[in-house]
Amino acid sequence: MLQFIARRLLITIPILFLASIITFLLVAKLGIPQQLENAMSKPNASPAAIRSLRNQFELDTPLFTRYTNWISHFVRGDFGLDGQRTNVRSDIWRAIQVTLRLLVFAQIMSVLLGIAVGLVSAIRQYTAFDYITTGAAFLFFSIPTAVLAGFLKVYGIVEFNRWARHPTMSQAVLVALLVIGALCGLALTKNRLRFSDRPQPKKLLLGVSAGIGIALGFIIVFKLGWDGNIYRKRNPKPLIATIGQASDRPPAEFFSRMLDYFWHLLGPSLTLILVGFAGYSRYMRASMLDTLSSDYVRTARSKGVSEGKVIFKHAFRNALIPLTTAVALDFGALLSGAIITERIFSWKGMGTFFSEALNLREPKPLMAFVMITAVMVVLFNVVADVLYARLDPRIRLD
Amino acid sequence: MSLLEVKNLCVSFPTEDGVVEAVRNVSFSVDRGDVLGIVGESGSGKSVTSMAVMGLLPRSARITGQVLYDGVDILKLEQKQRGAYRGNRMGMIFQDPMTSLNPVYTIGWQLSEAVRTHNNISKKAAKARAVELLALVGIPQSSKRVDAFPHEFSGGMRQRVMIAMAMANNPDLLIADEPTTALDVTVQAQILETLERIQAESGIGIILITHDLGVVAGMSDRMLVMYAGSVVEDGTVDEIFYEPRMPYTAGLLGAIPRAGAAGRLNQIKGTTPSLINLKPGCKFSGRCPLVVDVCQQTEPELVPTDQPAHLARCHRTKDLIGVDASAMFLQETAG
Amino acid sequence: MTDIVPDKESVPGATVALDEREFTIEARAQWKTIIRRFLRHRLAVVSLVLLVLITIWAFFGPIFWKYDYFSLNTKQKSLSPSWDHPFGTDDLGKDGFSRIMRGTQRSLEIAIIVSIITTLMGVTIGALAGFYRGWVDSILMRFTDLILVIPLLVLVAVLSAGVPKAPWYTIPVLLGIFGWPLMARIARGEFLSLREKEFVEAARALGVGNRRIIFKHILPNLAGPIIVNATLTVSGAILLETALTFLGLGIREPEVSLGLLIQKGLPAYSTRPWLFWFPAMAIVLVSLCVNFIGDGLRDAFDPKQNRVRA
Repeated sequence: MLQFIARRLLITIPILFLASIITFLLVAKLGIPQQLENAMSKPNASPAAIRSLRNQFELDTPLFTRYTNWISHFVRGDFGLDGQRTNVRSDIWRAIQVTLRLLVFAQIMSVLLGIAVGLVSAIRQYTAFDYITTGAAFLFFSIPTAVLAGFLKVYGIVEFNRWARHPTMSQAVLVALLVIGALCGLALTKNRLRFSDRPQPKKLLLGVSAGIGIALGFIIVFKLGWDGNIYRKRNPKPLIATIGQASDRPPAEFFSRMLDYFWHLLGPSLTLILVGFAGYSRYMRASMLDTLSSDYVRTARSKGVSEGKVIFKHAFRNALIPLTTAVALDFGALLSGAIITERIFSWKGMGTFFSEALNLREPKPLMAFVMITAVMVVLFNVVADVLYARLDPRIRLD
Repeated sequence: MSLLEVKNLCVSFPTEDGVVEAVRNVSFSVDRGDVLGIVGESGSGKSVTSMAVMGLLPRSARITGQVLYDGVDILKLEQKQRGAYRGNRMGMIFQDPMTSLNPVYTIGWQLSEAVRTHNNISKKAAKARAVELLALVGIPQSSKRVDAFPHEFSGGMRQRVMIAMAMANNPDLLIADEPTTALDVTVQAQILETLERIQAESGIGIILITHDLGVVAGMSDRMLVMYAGSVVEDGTVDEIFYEPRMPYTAGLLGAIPRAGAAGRLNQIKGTTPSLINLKPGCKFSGRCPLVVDVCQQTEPELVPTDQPAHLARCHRTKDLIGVDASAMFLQETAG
Repeated sequence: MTDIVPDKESVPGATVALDEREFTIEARAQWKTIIRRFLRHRLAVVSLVLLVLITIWAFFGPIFWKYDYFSLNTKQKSLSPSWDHPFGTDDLGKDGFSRIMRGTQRSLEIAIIVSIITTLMGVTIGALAGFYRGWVDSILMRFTDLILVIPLLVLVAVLSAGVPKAPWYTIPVLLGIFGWPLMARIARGEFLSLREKEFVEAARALGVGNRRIIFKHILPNLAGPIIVNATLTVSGAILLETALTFLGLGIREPEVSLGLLIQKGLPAYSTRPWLFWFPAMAIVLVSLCVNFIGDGLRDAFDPKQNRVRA
């Protein structure tokens, strides 16, 4: 196993090396950095200042030397300085932390949601649940991230915040919400879940959901009043943030800080979760339908194994194999995966890091960004292979 | 009372193209110690029949009729009670051993699961039973092989594992659905020999489904011939092999190559009819060399022939008495 | 040995003709079932009709529409939708309706170009790797790995930032040139398994050349995966174009694409929401249609689909 990992990583070194050369050329081709251009376009630009900037960007050294300089430092972990003479490594590290906070949360949520929805829609193929989730998945699959993020931000969160400042709800809306809730509960319990044919869980579920529904109704009616206003005075500022990854001055106390992070996380992660859910639920559904119609599932049924065990121990266990590989590969692409979302919600993460570096045509931050994402892709490719071998005894790594 | 008695079993599937009538009015019975062969081409309904008996058909299947197991109509049971029969009082083995075992669990795990589903025993005891079962079906070094994964076994070995799994709870009935079709000829013989030995030792009833007449001839006492979802001939193996009373059976027998026989192989021309929107009349009439007008208008009943226990579904049964029926297909091709 | 293998030239006509005829009959029957299965996918058929209508509207609409997409009109700035301007006007008085027609047209053109380039390159590279295996395969697959190491959006963003004055078709060409690895992997996988199939061995035993085996025997069997993937590339390209343009690295003024309209419209959401809504709906509609068509095609080509419905 270790030998396999070592060999796989060894093979990727020349690929990463080639990728670095190509990117270096592309970045050099971008033209002179914005900073230099700004300096040169000033009417009273001093030649000395321009010369020092040219020196700083190594514009007068041959390309080859520039590359060898850069890579010899890069492999030792020195990512260089950008135009403002700040350390690129600490900059990008800060950006990575911000991005990971968003993407790890969003990715985990979308995988869990995707698995759950894909599983149920495969077991209940061609039911209303299947059609509705399939439709939703197609919709989120077809929306550009910019549109979805923009929509959630300006029509979801901003509108919600406006409402939350004076949270009133007309009686008609309240009644409608309760009716919809009750219908959802009924729809969930009316159709057989097909995990078991015993009637008890059905009744239990019905009771629980009815209970929750009634309780919610009471809370809304008595707590908020028919024109309830519990937030009115206590919450002068918007509840869900639309800008940035945290407040300018985040609260020092741990719990409040986490809450602050959470309210900032909600918008962008909802965007990413909806898009991710669309992909994973389709994948899981297809994978699950495949294993459900397999011969070994039929064998398990012929043994008299209960339907729940057939689904989870046999079909689901096998359906997870391709999904795990896909998820692992997606984790590799995470660091560069949210450029648009970060921009719309003004997060100072990797996406913003990249687009700013590109706008300013700053070679060192750009190279650092591309190489780190490339290394992540390569690493998670190996992780995917290892996981695959772990989950499927037929696969041997050597 | 027989161990298993199937009465007027009908199975149909709604599809986008219409209702597929996969099995129509099939009746038969099996006793302990019996080996019943069911023969037919693919799509003749033999597998669907066995799946209906096991209760493995998808929910969309519409099933009518009776399946009496020790006098209990198991079609009418609740799922839970039904599960107590499946894998416990009847076991089943399938055509393709390469895909019939779950690739991610060890052989021992899968055998133990079969045992533990129906018996409240410890994991350790179940594992011991798994080793015992592997030995029963003739797998050497069973205590070691029990921890192997399916992909480490050959096709023949996997089919033995499937037999072991079906026998895990000492059932009274074993359904073998094309158990040897996907295997090499030499391995086929070993598997059949294993089945025969187990049957002799335990005295179970076996339903052997196959399209290989040789297999039926070697193992069965009685046999059914199925065509387009219904039984067209029912009798002892000797009766049917030597004196077929239905042209389709005769055609099947004629299509077996014989050592030393010269000339062309007899074949039945045409293909099986679609099971959607079945036409009236005998379903074989489109391919039958003896077809007359009545065959295309009314479907014949399954009735006793000149031999009382030998049933056939044919308007022209009488014309087959004392004739070398297989030659008819040859004449047809020659003419 | 050589005289046992029938030379193609030595049997002119007879067998070849028979061969071809049977092939075409079978092929026609196969296409018939595929079309029938596709037609059964109602959503896909509706989407196809809708997409055709949208395409006609986008390409021929501008001929009949009274406004063009580039003229400024200072008297008609920021008008909300009306009969005169069904999709309103922007802050420079340009007509929204004609801009969306133009944008849809460009976005469709971009998507088609990406899809064609991706498919041609992907299938060629995948076919070579899968058919010849050995060192050809190794080199091509390492090459694929190299391209996959850098995310497509990042790669094309950097390339596009390097050519700020490039014409609009640079974007789709770039997306196509670097977007083929998925198609190549699919084609390679299919080729690897198909080249071992009996009918290919039979053809080889008859002395059929490599070129004929690739084009006549293997490629037709790949039609399903290729067509499905090419369709899905179309919707992927529309989304990628939007992302690039949103970052200011795709289509630039005075060209118009749906992505550009969204980029311009989003900041104006509170004052001129129609500038966001209409292009957003257009893009979602087009890409939803394409995705449904892709789904219908996948069902049509996948024989497993003929399963029982509950």
